[in-house]
Amino acid sequence: MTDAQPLCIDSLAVAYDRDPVLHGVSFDLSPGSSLAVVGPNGAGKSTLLRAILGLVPVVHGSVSVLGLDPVAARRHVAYVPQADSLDPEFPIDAFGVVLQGRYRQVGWFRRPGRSDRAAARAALAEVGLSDRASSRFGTLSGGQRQRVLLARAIAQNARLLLLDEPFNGVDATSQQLLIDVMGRLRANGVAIVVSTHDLAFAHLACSEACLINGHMVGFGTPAEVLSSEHLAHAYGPAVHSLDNGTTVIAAHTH
Amino acid sequence: MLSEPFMQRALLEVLLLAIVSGCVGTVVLVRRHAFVADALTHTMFPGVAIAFFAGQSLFIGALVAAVVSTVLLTLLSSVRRVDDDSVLALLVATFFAAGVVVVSRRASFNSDLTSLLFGHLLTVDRSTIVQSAMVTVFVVVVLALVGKELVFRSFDPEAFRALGYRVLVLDAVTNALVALVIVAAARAIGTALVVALLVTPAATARLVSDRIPMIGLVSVGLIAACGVAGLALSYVASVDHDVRVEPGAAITVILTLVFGVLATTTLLTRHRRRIAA
Repeated sequence: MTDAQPLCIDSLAVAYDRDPVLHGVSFDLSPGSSLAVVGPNGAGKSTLLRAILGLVPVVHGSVSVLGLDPVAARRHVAYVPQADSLDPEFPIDAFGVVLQGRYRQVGWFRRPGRSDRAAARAALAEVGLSDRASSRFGTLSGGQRQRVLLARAIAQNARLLLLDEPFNGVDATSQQLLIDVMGRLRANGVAIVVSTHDLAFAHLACSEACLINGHMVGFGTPAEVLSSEHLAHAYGPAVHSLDNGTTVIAAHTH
Repeated sequence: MLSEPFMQRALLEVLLLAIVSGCVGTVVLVRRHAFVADALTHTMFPGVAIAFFAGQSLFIGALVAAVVSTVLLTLLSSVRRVDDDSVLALLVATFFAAGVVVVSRRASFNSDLTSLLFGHLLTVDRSTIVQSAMVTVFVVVVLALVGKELVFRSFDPEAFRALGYRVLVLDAVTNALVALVIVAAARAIGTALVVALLVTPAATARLVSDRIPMIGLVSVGLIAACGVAGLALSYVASVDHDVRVEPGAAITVILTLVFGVLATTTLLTRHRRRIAA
Protein backbone atom coordinates (compact mmCIF):
# COMPACT_ATOMS: atom_id res chain seq x y z
CA MET A 1 0.00 0.00 0.00
CA THR A 2 2.94 2.32 0.55
CA ASP A 3 3.44 2.24 -3.23
CA ALA A 4 -0.08 3.45 -3.94
CA GLN A 5 -0.59 7.08 -4.93
CA PRO A 6 -1.48 9.01 -1.75
CA LEU A 7 -4.20 10.87 -3.59
CA CYS A 8 -5.94 10.54 -6.98
CA ILE A 9 -8.86 12.88 -7.65
CA ASP A 10 -10.74 12.60 -10.95
CA SER A 11 -13.33 15.19 -12.05
CA LEU A 12 -14.68 15.45 -8.52
CA ALA A 13 -17.98 17.22 -7.80
CA VAL A 14 -19.40 17.68 -4.29
CA ALA A 15 -22.89 18.91 -3.39
CA TYR A 16 -24.75 19.52 -0.13
CA ASP A 17 -28.51 18.98 -0.51
CA ARG A 18 -28.21 19.20 -4.33
CA ASP A 19 -26.41 22.58 -4.18
CA PRO A 20 -23.06 22.04 -5.91
CA VAL A 21 -20.23 23.58 -3.87
CA LEU A 22 -17.21 22.27 -5.75
CA HIS A 23 -16.74 20.69 -9.17
CA GLY A 24 -14.19 19.93 -11.86
CA VAL A 25 -11.34 19.02 -9.51
CA SER A 26 -8.76 16.56 -10.91
CA PHE A 27 -5.19 15.97 -9.77
CA ASP A 28 -2.81 13.30 -8.49
CA LEU A 29 -0.39 13.59 -5.62
CA SER A 30 2.73 11.43 -5.25
CA PRO A 31 4.44 10.36 -1.99
CA GLY A 32 6.56 13.09 -0.43
CA SER A 33 4.83 15.93 -2.24
CA SER A 34 2.95 18.77 -0.58
CA LEU A 35 0.01 20.57 -2.06
CA ALA A 36 -1.28 24.02 -1.19
CA VAL A 37 -5.02 24.37 -1.76
CA VAL A 38 -5.52 28.10 -2.31
CA GLY A 39 -8.75 30.02 -2.82
CA PRO A 40 -10.96 32.72 -1.33
CA ASN A 41 -13.31 32.12 1.61
CA GLY A 42 -16.16 29.85 0.59
CA ALA A 43 -14.24 28.58 -2.45
CA GLY A 44 -14.52 24.99 -1.25
CA LYS A 45 -11.11 24.44 0.42
CA SER A 46 -12.58 22.78 3.50
CA THR A 47 -15.01 20.86 1.31
CA LEU A 48 -12.09 19.44 -0.67
CA LEU A 49 -10.40 18.29 2.56
CA ARG A 50 -13.67 16.75 3.71
CA ALA A 51 -14.07 14.94 0.40
CA ILE A 52 -10.60 13.42 0.86
CA LEU A 53 -11.77 12.21 4.30
CA GLY A 54 -14.96 10.77 2.81
CA LEU A 55 -17.12 13.07 4.97
CA VAL A 56 -19.13 14.74 2.17
CA PRO A 57 -21.28 13.24 -0.61
CA VAL A 58 -19.40 12.95 -3.92
CA VAL A 59 -21.97 13.40 -6.70
CA HIS A 60 -19.59 12.97 -9.61
CA GLY A 61 -16.08 11.70 -10.27
CA SER A 62 -13.92 9.85 -7.77
CA VAL A 63 -11.46 10.25 -4.90
CA SER A 64 -8.94 7.52 -4.18
CA VAL A 65 -6.70 7.72 -1.11
CA LEU A 66 -3.67 5.39 -1.00
CA GLY A 67 -5.45 3.24 -3.59
CA LEU A 68 -8.50 2.90 -1.34
CA ASP A 69 -11.93 4.42 -0.94
CA PRO A 70 -11.58 7.52 1.34
CA VAL A 71 -13.63 5.92 4.11
CA ALA A 72 -11.47 2.78 4.09
CA ALA A 73 -8.28 4.88 4.06
CA ARG A 74 -9.21 7.13 7.01
CA ARG A 75 -6.90 5.60 9.57
CA HIS A 76 -3.91 6.23 7.29
CA VAL A 77 -4.90 9.88 6.91
CA ALA A 78 -4.32 12.49 9.61
CA TYR A 79 -6.51 15.58 9.76
CA VAL A 80 -5.15 18.65 11.53
CA PRO A 81 -7.93 21.15 12.35
CA GLN A 82 -7.44 24.84 13.04
CA ALA A 83 -6.24 25.21 16.62
CA ASP A 84 -8.65 28.05 17.35
CA SER A 85 -11.64 25.86 16.48
CA LEU A 86 -11.06 23.93 19.72
CA ASP A 87 -12.34 24.81 23.20
CA PRO A 88 -9.46 26.46 25.14
CA GLU A 89 -11.13 25.62 28.48
CA PHE A 90 -11.17 21.87 27.80
CA PRO A 91 -9.41 19.98 30.63
CA ILE A 92 -6.70 18.15 28.66
CA ASP A 93 -2.93 18.61 28.52
CA ALA A 94 -0.70 18.74 25.42
CA PHE A 95 0.49 15.16 25.89
CA GLY A 96 -3.10 13.95 26.16
CA VAL A 97 -3.94 15.59 22.83
CA VAL A 98 -0.92 14.03 21.08
CA LEU A 99 -1.77 10.61 22.52
CA GLN A 100 -5.15 10.79 20.72
CA GLY A 101 -3.20 10.22 17.51
CA ARG A 102 -2.57 6.66 18.72
CA TYR A 103 -6.18 5.79 19.60
CA ARG A 104 -6.96 4.13 16.26
CA GLN A 105 -3.97 1.80 16.65
CA VAL A 106 -4.81 1.17 20.31
CA GLY A 107 -8.43 0.37 19.44
CA TRP A 108 -11.64 0.48 21.45
CA PHE A 109 -11.73 -0.77 25.05
CA ARG A 110 -7.95 -0.59 25.55
CA ARG A 111 -5.58 1.89 27.10
CA PRO A 112 -2.55 3.31 25.25
CA GLY A 113 0.55 1.23 26.04
CA ARG A 114 4.19 2.07 26.58
CA SER A 115 4.96 2.23 22.84
CA ASP A 116 2.04 4.60 22.29
CA ARG A 117 3.27 6.92 25.02
CA ALA A 118 6.79 6.79 23.57
CA ALA A 119 5.42 7.68 20.11
CA ALA A 120 3.49 10.59 21.59
CA ARG A 121 6.57 11.85 23.44
CA ALA A 122 8.67 11.60 20.27
CA ALA A 123 6.05 13.48 18.26
CA LEU A 124 5.91 16.24 20.87
CA ALA A 125 9.72 16.48 20.74
CA GLU A 126 9.54 16.68 16.93
CA VAL A 127 7.52 19.92 17.19
CA GLY A 128 9.78 21.26 19.97
CA LEU A 129 7.27 21.13 22.80
CA SER A 130 8.63 18.38 25.09
CA ASP A 131 8.78 20.85 27.97
CA ARG A 132 5.08 21.72 27.61
CA ALA A 133 3.77 18.13 27.72
CA SER A 134 1.79 18.64 30.92
CA SER A 135 0.54 22.15 30.14
CA ARG A 136 -3.18 22.43 29.56
CA PHE A 137 -3.87 22.76 25.83
CA GLY A 138 -5.75 26.03 26.27
CA THR A 139 -2.84 27.72 28.07
CA LEU A 140 -0.52 27.34 25.05
CA SER A 141 -0.13 30.08 22.43
CA GLY A 142 -1.95 29.74 19.09
CA GLY A 143 1.23 28.59 17.37
CA GLN A 144 2.02 26.06 20.08
CA ARG A 145 -1.52 24.64 19.92
CA GLN A 146 -1.16 24.21 16.17
CA ARG A 147 2.15 22.39 16.76
CA VAL A 148 0.51 20.08 19.32
CA LEU A 149 -2.17 19.19 16.75
CA LEU A 150 0.56 18.53 14.17
CA ALA A 151 2.32 16.30 16.73
CA ARG A 152 -0.93 14.34 17.12
CA ALA A 153 -0.92 13.75 13.36
CA ILE A 154 2.75 12.68 13.49
CA ALA A 155 2.01 10.21 16.31
CA GLN A 156 -0.64 8.68 14.07
CA ASN A 157 2.04 7.62 11.52
CA ALA A 158 -0.25 8.64 8.67
CA ARG A 159 0.78 8.47 5.01
CA LEU A 160 -1.29 11.51 4.10
CA LEU A 161 -1.64 14.68 6.19
CA LEU A 162 -4.45 17.21 5.77
CA LEU A 163 -3.91 20.62 7.38
CA ASP A 164 -6.73 23.17 7.55
CA GLU A 165 -5.35 26.75 7.53
CA PRO A 166 -2.43 25.87 9.83
CA PHE A 167 -1.01 29.42 9.79
CA ASN A 168 -4.04 31.34 11.03
CA GLY A 169 -2.98 33.24 14.14
CA VAL A 170 0.43 31.53 14.32
CA ASP A 171 3.63 33.34 15.37
CA ALA A 172 6.74 33.42 13.15
CA THR A 173 8.69 30.86 15.23
CA SER A 174 5.87 28.34 15.01
CA GLN A 175 5.44 29.02 11.28
CA GLN A 176 9.10 28.20 10.62
CA LEU A 177 8.83 25.12 12.83
CA LEU A 178 5.74 23.89 10.99
CA ILE A 179 7.53 24.33 7.65
CA ASP A 180 10.61 22.42 8.94
CA VAL A 181 8.51 19.55 10.27
CA MET A 182 6.59 19.35 7.01
CA GLY A 183 9.93 19.06 5.17
CA ARG A 184 11.07 16.15 7.37
CA LEU A 185 7.74 14.35 6.97
CA ARG A 186 7.93 14.74 3.19
CA ALA A 187 11.47 13.32 3.20
CA ASN A 188 9.94 10.21 4.82
CA GLY A 189 7.44 9.88 1.98
CA VAL A 190 4.44 11.44 3.69
CA ALA A 191 2.20 13.46 1.34
CA ILE A 192 0.67 16.69 2.66
CA VAL A 193 -2.36 18.75 1.64
CA VAL A 194 -2.64 22.23 3.16
CA SER A 195 -5.52 24.63 2.73
CA THR A 196 -4.17 28.16 3.03
CA HIS A 197 -4.59 31.86 2.27
CA ASP A 198 -0.88 32.38 2.59
CA LEU A 199 0.73 32.64 -0.85
CA ALA A 200 4.26 33.04 0.53
CA PHE A 201 3.83 29.80 2.46
CA ALA A 202 2.55 28.02 -0.66
CA HIS A 203 5.69 29.08 -2.55
CA LEU A 204 8.02 28.21 0.35
CA ALA A 205 6.72 24.90 1.62
CA CYS A 206 4.74 23.29 -1.18
CA SER A 207 5.72 21.41 -4.30
CA GLU A 208 2.29 21.81 -5.88
CA ALA A 209 -0.58 24.25 -5.71
CA CYS A 210 -4.25 23.90 -6.53
CA LEU A 211 -6.24 27.07 -6.98
CA ILE A 212 -9.99 26.69 -6.48
CA ASN A 213 -13.06 28.89 -6.46
CA GLY A 214 -16.10 26.63 -6.63
CA HIS A 215 -14.21 24.80 -9.36
CA MET A 216 -10.54 24.11 -10.05
CA VAL A 217 -8.88 27.17 -11.59
CA GLY A 218 -5.43 25.64 -11.93
CA PHE A 219 -3.09 22.91 -10.75
CA GLY A 220 0.71 22.75 -11.04
CA THR A 221 3.79 24.13 -9.33
CA PRO A 222 3.12 27.16 -7.11
CA ALA A 223 5.03 29.33 -9.57
CA GLU A 224 2.76 28.27 -12.47
CA VAL A 225 -0.55 28.25 -10.66
CA LEU A 226 -0.25 31.25 -8.39
CA SER A 227 0.34 33.65 -11.27
CA SER A 228 -1.38 37.02 -11.29
CA GLU A 229 -3.93 36.04 -13.97
CA HIS A 230 -4.94 32.82 -12.23
CA LEU A 231 -5.25 34.58 -8.88
CA ALA A 232 -7.26 37.39 -10.43
CA HIS A 233 -9.54 34.77 -11.92
CA ALA A 234 -10.07 33.14 -8.52
CA TYR A 235 -10.10 36.16 -6.22
CA GLY A 236 -11.28 38.97 -8.52
CA PRO A 237 -10.36 42.56 -7.67
CA ALA A 238 -8.75 41.66 -4.32
CA VAL A 239 -5.54 40.66 -6.14
CA HIS A 240 -2.84 43.27 -6.59
CA SER A 241 0.54 43.01 -8.32
CA LEU A 242 3.20 45.01 -6.51
CA ASP A 243 5.94 46.89 -8.37
CA ASN A 244 8.57 44.37 -7.28
CA GLY A 245 6.72 41.59 -9.13
CA THR A 246 5.12 39.83 -6.14
CA THR A 247 1.40 39.23 -5.97
CA VAL A 248 -0.64 39.95 -2.85
CA ILE A 249 -4.26 39.44 -1.94
CA ALA A 250 -5.77 42.37 -0.10
CA ALA A 251 -7.58 41.70 3.14
CA HIS A 252 -11.20 40.75 2.57
CA THR A 253 -13.34 43.85 2.41
CA HIS A 254 -16.90 42.65 2.73
CA MET B 1 -28.31 7.86 63.90
CA LEU B 2 -26.72 5.05 61.90
CA SER B 3 -28.26 2.37 64.07
CA GLU B 4 -31.52 2.92 62.20
CA PRO B 5 -31.77 0.47 59.26
CA PHE B 6 -33.45 3.07 57.04
CA MET B 7 -30.51 5.42 57.59
CA GLN B 8 -28.05 2.65 56.70
CA ARG B 9 -29.94 1.99 53.48
CA ALA B 10 -30.11 5.70 52.66
CA LEU B 11 -26.38 6.07 53.28
CA LEU B 12 -25.53 3.13 51.04
CA GLU B 13 -27.80 4.51 48.31
CA VAL B 14 -26.18 7.95 48.55
CA LEU B 15 -22.68 6.48 48.25
CA LEU B 16 -23.67 4.44 45.18
CA LEU B 17 -25.28 7.49 43.59
CA ALA B 18 -22.11 9.47 44.37
CA ILE B 19 -19.99 7.06 42.34
CA VAL B 20 -22.33 6.83 39.38
CA SER B 21 -23.32 10.49 39.14
CA GLY B 22 -19.79 11.76 39.86
CA CYS B 23 -18.44 9.74 36.92
CA VAL B 24 -21.26 10.52 34.48
CA GLY B 25 -21.35 14.15 35.64
CA THR B 26 -17.72 14.44 34.51
CA VAL B 27 -18.74 13.18 31.05
CA VAL B 28 -21.60 15.69 31.01
CA LEU B 29 -19.10 18.44 31.88
CA VAL B 30 -16.54 17.63 29.15
CA ARG B 31 -19.32 17.12 26.60
CA ARG B 32 -20.90 20.45 27.69
CA HIS B 33 -24.11 18.50 27.97
CA ALA B 34 -25.68 20.03 31.10
CA PHE B 35 -28.75 21.16 29.18
CA VAL B 36 -29.18 17.70 27.65
CA ALA B 37 -28.91 16.10 31.08
CA ASP B 38 -31.56 18.49 32.34
CA ALA B 39 -33.80 17.66 29.39
CA LEU B 40 -33.45 13.93 29.95
CA THR B 41 -34.58 14.28 33.56
CA HIS B 42 -37.84 15.75 32.26
CA THR B 43 -38.32 13.30 29.40
CA MET B 44 -38.00 10.36 31.82
CA PHE B 45 -40.77 11.70 33.99
CA PRO B 46 -43.76 10.15 32.12
CA GLY B 47 -42.07 6.72 32.21
CA VAL B 48 -41.65 6.95 35.95
CA ALA B 49 -45.20 8.25 36.37
CA ILE B 50 -46.80 5.51 34.26
CA ALA B 51 -44.84 2.81 36.08
CA PHE B 52 -45.88 4.29 39.41
CA PHE B 53 -49.58 4.11 38.58
CA ALA B 54 -49.40 0.77 36.84
CA GLY B 55 -47.89 -0.59 40.03
CA GLN B 56 -44.74 -1.55 38.13
CA SER B 57 -41.18 -0.90 39.21
CA LEU B 58 -40.12 2.75 38.75
CA PHE B 59 -36.81 1.38 37.53
CA ILE B 60 -38.44 -0.38 34.57
CA GLY B 61 -40.63 2.64 33.77
CA ALA B 62 -37.68 5.02 33.83
CA LEU B 63 -35.62 2.57 31.78
CA VAL B 64 -38.25 2.39 29.02
CA ALA B 65 -38.62 6.18 28.99
CA ALA B 66 -34.82 6.48 28.95
CA VAL B 67 -34.49 4.25 25.89
CA VAL B 68 -37.25 6.10 24.00
CA SER B 69 -35.96 9.58 24.85
CA THR B 70 -32.29 8.66 24.23
CA VAL B 71 -33.10 7.32 20.77
CA LEU B 72 -35.29 10.33 19.92
CA LEU B 73 -32.74 12.80 21.27
CA THR B 74 -29.79 11.24 19.46
CA LEU B 75 -31.63 10.91 16.16
CA LEU B 76 -33.30 14.34 16.22
CA SER B 77 -30.00 16.03 17.16
CA SER B 78 -28.36 14.50 14.07
CA VAL B 79 -30.91 16.17 11.77
CA ARG B 80 -29.03 19.16 10.43
CA ARG B 81 -32.06 21.31 9.70
CA VAL B 82 -33.26 21.32 13.32
CA ASP B 83 -30.93 22.79 15.93
CA ASP B 84 -30.24 20.96 19.18
CA ASP B 85 -31.90 23.52 21.44
CA SER B 86 -35.21 23.29 19.58
CA VAL B 87 -35.10 19.49 19.71
CA LEU B 88 -34.52 19.58 23.46
CA ALA B 89 -37.22 22.15 24.15
CA LEU B 90 -39.70 20.17 22.07
CA LEU B 91 -38.91 16.87 23.78
CA VAL B 92 -38.93 18.34 27.28
CA ALA B 93 -42.33 20.02 26.90
CA THR B 94 -43.99 17.03 25.24
CA PHE B 95 -42.70 14.37 27.62
CA PHE B 96 -43.23 16.43 30.74
CA ALA B 97 -46.78 17.26 29.71
CA ALA B 98 -47.44 13.57 29.07
CA GLY B 99 -46.18 12.80 32.58
CA VAL B 100 -48.39 15.43 34.17
CA VAL B 101 -51.44 14.14 32.23
CA VAL B 102 -50.79 10.69 33.66
CA VAL B 103 -50.27 11.94 37.22
CA SER B 104 -53.24 14.32 37.20
CA ARG B 105 -55.67 11.44 36.63
CA ARG B 106 -55.04 10.41 40.23
CA ALA B 107 -56.76 11.77 43.32
CA SER B 108 -53.48 11.91 45.23
CA PHE B 109 -52.07 14.17 42.48
CA ASN B 110 -49.98 16.55 44.61
CA SER B 111 -48.24 14.12 46.91
CA ASP B 112 -47.57 11.69 44.05
CA LEU B 113 -46.12 14.43 41.89
CA THR B 114 -43.89 15.60 44.73
CA SER B 115 -42.59 12.14 45.43
CA LEU B 116 -41.80 11.46 41.75
CA LEU B 117 -40.08 14.81 41.24
CA PHE B 118 -38.13 14.95 44.50
CA GLY B 119 -37.79 11.34 45.62
CA HIS B 120 -37.78 9.72 49.04
CA LEU B 121 -34.25 8.85 50.08
CA LEU B 122 -35.31 7.67 53.53
CA THR B 123 -37.69 5.04 52.18
CA VAL B 124 -35.40 3.32 49.66
CA ASP B 125 -35.67 -0.45 49.96
CA ARG B 126 -33.27 -3.27 49.34
CA SER B 127 -34.27 -3.74 45.68
CA THR B 128 -33.63 -0.06 44.91
CA ILE B 129 -30.13 -0.39 46.34
CA VAL B 130 -29.49 -3.53 44.30
CA GLN B 131 -30.64 -1.72 41.14
CA SER B 132 -28.41 1.27 41.92
CA ALA B 133 -25.46 -1.04 42.52
CA MET B 134 -26.01 -2.76 39.17
CA VAL B 135 -26.26 0.55 37.34
CA THR B 136 -23.11 1.80 39.09
CA VAL B 137 -21.06 -1.25 38.07
CA PHE B 138 -22.39 -1.07 34.50
CA VAL B 139 -21.66 2.65 34.11
CA VAL B 140 -18.15 2.40 35.56
CA VAL B 141 -17.31 -0.52 33.24
CA VAL B 142 -18.66 1.32 30.16
CA LEU B 143 -16.67 4.45 31.05
CA ALA B 144 -13.50 2.40 31.56
CA LEU B 145 -14.02 0.87 28.11
CA VAL B 146 -14.89 3.94 26.01
CA GLY B 147 -13.69 6.81 28.21
CA LYS B 148 -10.81 7.80 25.97
CA GLU B 149 -13.04 7.93 22.89
CA LEU B 150 -15.64 10.00 24.78
CA VAL B 151 -12.99 12.56 25.71
CA PHE B 152 -11.57 12.67 22.16
CA ARG B 153 -15.04 13.13 20.66
CA SER B 154 -15.82 15.93 23.09
CA PHE B 155 -12.54 17.74 22.50
CA ASP B 156 -12.24 17.53 18.71
CA PRO B 157 -15.29 16.10 16.92
CA GLU B 158 -13.95 16.94 13.42
CA ALA B 159 -10.68 15.02 13.86
CA PHE B 160 -12.57 12.25 15.64
CA ARG B 161 -14.91 11.84 12.65
CA ALA B 162 -11.96 12.11 10.26
CA LEU B 163 -10.41 9.05 11.94
CA GLY B 164 -13.47 7.04 10.98
CA TYR B 165 -15.19 6.91 14.38
CA ARG B 166 -18.98 6.93 14.43
CA VAL B 167 -20.04 9.97 16.42
CA LEU B 168 -23.70 8.95 16.51
CA VAL B 169 -22.94 5.68 18.31
CA LEU B 170 -20.82 7.41 20.93
CA ASP B 171 -23.42 10.14 21.47
CA ALA B 172 -26.07 7.48 22.01
CA VAL B 173 -23.78 5.89 24.63
CA THR B 174 -23.35 9.24 26.41
CA ASN B 175 -27.09 9.92 26.44
CA ALA B 176 -27.77 6.39 27.64
CA LEU B 177 -25.31 6.80 30.54
CA VAL B 178 -27.00 10.03 31.61
CA ALA B 179 -30.39 8.35 31.33
CA LEU B 180 -29.18 5.43 33.44
CA VAL B 181 -28.05 7.72 36.25
CA ILE B 182 -31.48 9.34 36.26
CA VAL B 183 -33.05 5.87 36.30
CA ALA B 184 -30.91 4.89 39.26
CA ALA B 185 -31.59 8.08 41.18
CA ALA B 186 -35.30 8.51 40.36
CA ARG B 187 -36.59 6.76 43.51
CA ALA B 188 -34.14 8.29 45.96
CA ILE B 189 -33.56 11.84 44.72
CA GLY B 190 -36.38 12.29 42.19
CA THR B 191 -36.22 13.16 38.53
CA ALA B 192 -36.12 16.92 39.12
CA LEU B 193 -33.22 17.01 41.58
CA VAL B 194 -30.93 14.40 39.99
CA VAL B 195 -29.63 16.98 37.54
CA ALA B 196 -28.00 18.69 40.54
CA LEU B 197 -25.94 15.54 41.14
CA LEU B 198 -24.88 15.47 37.48
CA VAL B 199 -24.01 19.12 36.94
CA THR B 200 -23.04 20.85 40.21
CA PRO B 201 -20.32 18.51 41.57
CA ALA B 202 -18.43 18.29 38.25
CA ALA B 203 -18.62 22.06 37.81
CA THR B 204 -17.22 22.44 41.34
CA ALA B 205 -14.45 19.90 40.69
CA ARG B 206 -13.53 21.70 37.46
CA LEU B 207 -12.70 24.75 39.59
CA VAL B 208 -9.97 22.83 41.42
CA SER B 209 -8.54 20.58 38.69
CA ASP B 210 -7.57 20.59 34.99
CA ARG B 211 -7.41 16.79 34.77
CA ILE B 212 -10.39 14.67 33.87
CA PRO B 213 -9.68 11.67 36.18
CA MET B 214 -9.17 14.09 39.07
CA ILE B 215 -12.40 15.95 38.23
CA GLY B 216 -14.19 12.59 38.36
CA LEU B 217 -12.66 11.66 41.73
CA VAL B 218 -13.38 15.05 43.28
CA SER B 219 -16.99 14.91 42.00
CA VAL B 220 -17.54 11.49 43.58
CA GLY B 221 -15.98 12.68 46.85
CA LEU B 222 -18.08 15.85 46.87
CA ILE B 223 -21.37 14.04 46.33
CA ALA B 224 -20.46 11.48 48.99
CA ALA B 225 -19.52 14.17 51.52
CA CYS B 226 -22.50 16.44 50.78
CA GLY B 227 -24.74 13.36 50.64
CA VAL B 228 -23.74 12.31 54.15
CA ALA B 229 -24.07 15.89 55.38
CA GLY B 230 -27.53 16.23 53.81
CA LEU B 231 -28.71 12.96 55.32
CA ALA B 232 -27.44 13.93 58.76
CA LEU B 233 -29.05 17.37 58.50
CA SER B 234 -32.35 15.83 57.48
CA TYR B 235 -32.22 13.31 60.34
CA VAL B 236 -31.29 15.85 63.00
CA ALA B 237 -33.91 18.30 61.76
CA SER B 238 -36.74 15.81 61.82
CA VAL B 239 -35.84 13.73 64.88
CA ASP B 240 -34.46 16.43 67.18
CA HIS B 241 -36.42 19.47 66.02
CA ASP B 242 -39.47 17.98 64.37
CA VAL B 243 -38.86 19.90 61.12
CA ARG B 244 -39.31 17.81 57.97
CA VAL B 245 -36.43 18.29 55.54
CA GLU B 246 -36.29 15.99 52.53
CA PRO B 247 -32.64 14.77 52.33
CA GLY B 248 -32.55 14.95 48.51
CA ALA B 249 -33.30 18.68 48.65
CA ALA B 250 -30.83 19.18 51.53
CA ILE B 251 -28.05 17.47 49.53
CA THR B 252 -28.81 19.66 46.51
CA VAL B 253 -28.64 22.83 48.55
CA ILE B 254 -25.36 21.85 50.25
CA LEU B 255 -23.77 20.95 46.89
CA THR B 256 -24.79 24.33 45.49
CA LEU B 257 -23.41 26.13 48.56
CA VAL B 258 -20.03 24.39 48.17
CA PHE B 259 -19.99 25.38 44.50
CA GLY B 260 -20.88 28.96 45.38
CA VAL B 261 -18.13 29.28 47.98
CA LEU B 262 -15.47 27.73 45.71
CA ALA B 263 -16.51 29.73 42.66
CA THR B 264 -16.37 32.96 44.64
CA THR B 265 -12.95 32.08 46.09
CA THR B 266 -11.61 31.22 42.63
CA LEU B 267 -12.92 34.45 41.17
CA LEU B 268 -11.43 36.50 44.00
CA THR B 269 -8.04 34.74 43.72
CA ARG B 270 -7.93 35.37 39.97
CA HIS B 271 -8.95 38.96 40.46
CA ARG B 272 -6.23 39.48 43.08
CA ARG B 273 -3.62 37.86 40.84
CA ARG B 274 -4.63 40.11 37.97
CA ILE B 275 -4.24 43.15 40.18
CA ALA B 276 -0.87 41.92 41.43
CA ALA B 277 0.32 41.27 37.86
